[in-house]
Amino acid sequence: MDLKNILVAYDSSSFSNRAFKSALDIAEPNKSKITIVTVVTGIYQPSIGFSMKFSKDLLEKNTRMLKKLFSNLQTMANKKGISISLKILNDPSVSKAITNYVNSHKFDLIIIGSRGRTGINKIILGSVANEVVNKVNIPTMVVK
Amino acid sequence: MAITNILVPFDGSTYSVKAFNAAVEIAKRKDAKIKVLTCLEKENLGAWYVDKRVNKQIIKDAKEFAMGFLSKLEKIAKDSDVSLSVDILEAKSISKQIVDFANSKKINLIVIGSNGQTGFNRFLLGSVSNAVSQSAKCPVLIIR
Repeated sequence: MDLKNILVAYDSSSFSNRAFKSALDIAEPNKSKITIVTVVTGIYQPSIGFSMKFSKDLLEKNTRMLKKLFSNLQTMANKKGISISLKILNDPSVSKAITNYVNSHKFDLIIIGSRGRTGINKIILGSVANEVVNKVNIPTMVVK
Repeated sequence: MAITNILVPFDGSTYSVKAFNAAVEIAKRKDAKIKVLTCLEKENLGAWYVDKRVNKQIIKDAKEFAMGFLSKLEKIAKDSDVSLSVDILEAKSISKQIVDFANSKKINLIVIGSNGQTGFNRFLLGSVSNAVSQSAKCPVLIIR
């Protein structure tokens, strides 16, 4: 199993932070590259109607916030000598965006937190994690 | 996340062989121990209403068969200097047995194949790997 490219699905929740940490653990001996993918969903605005359009202000705000979070992650990775890159996707469906991105690029492993920002139940998988695990065609690691 | 104990649920299928090979590679880099678990389904053998001894005979044969392919794994592990222990358990529910085993033996990582002996759709998860990834308390690596 060659692990040159690792993808981490990230949404700044505690579970995805744990996923990132275990990605660093795996990347260190393998000298692999880490890509962090985040999906910014469309925000429903009554003025636009029922079409899912991106509000520009919120999109900019989210992107700025993500870049800030990313720089934190980058300092963590630099300490271990691992190069990471950020990819922001815009899509109304988070799981679809991640699976399409994974299946159209060459990654060796995807690491995902068992659940994200929403949800209380810690026993079963979150909806995004479940769908990604089911539909992706590369090895997947679910971090609890 | 320190990986010291890796569990590989094994059923002799090509997916589980792939999972075992991946586990050996991880264990080599991390100096981890591998536990291989084979579960034999106790109920629904179909012969219990005829004669209970038939059931026992079936389990006995299955155990011998399982030991046959598990001894091959021991050879692979010895070649790459990884310590390996093998367990064969009888269980009513295989996924539940795997999760219970992982909880009681302080497993840090479960490496499991995406499908098992049954199942034909390689794009969806098998029932056991789905149940294990949902309800296990440690990270789960799914190999495809």
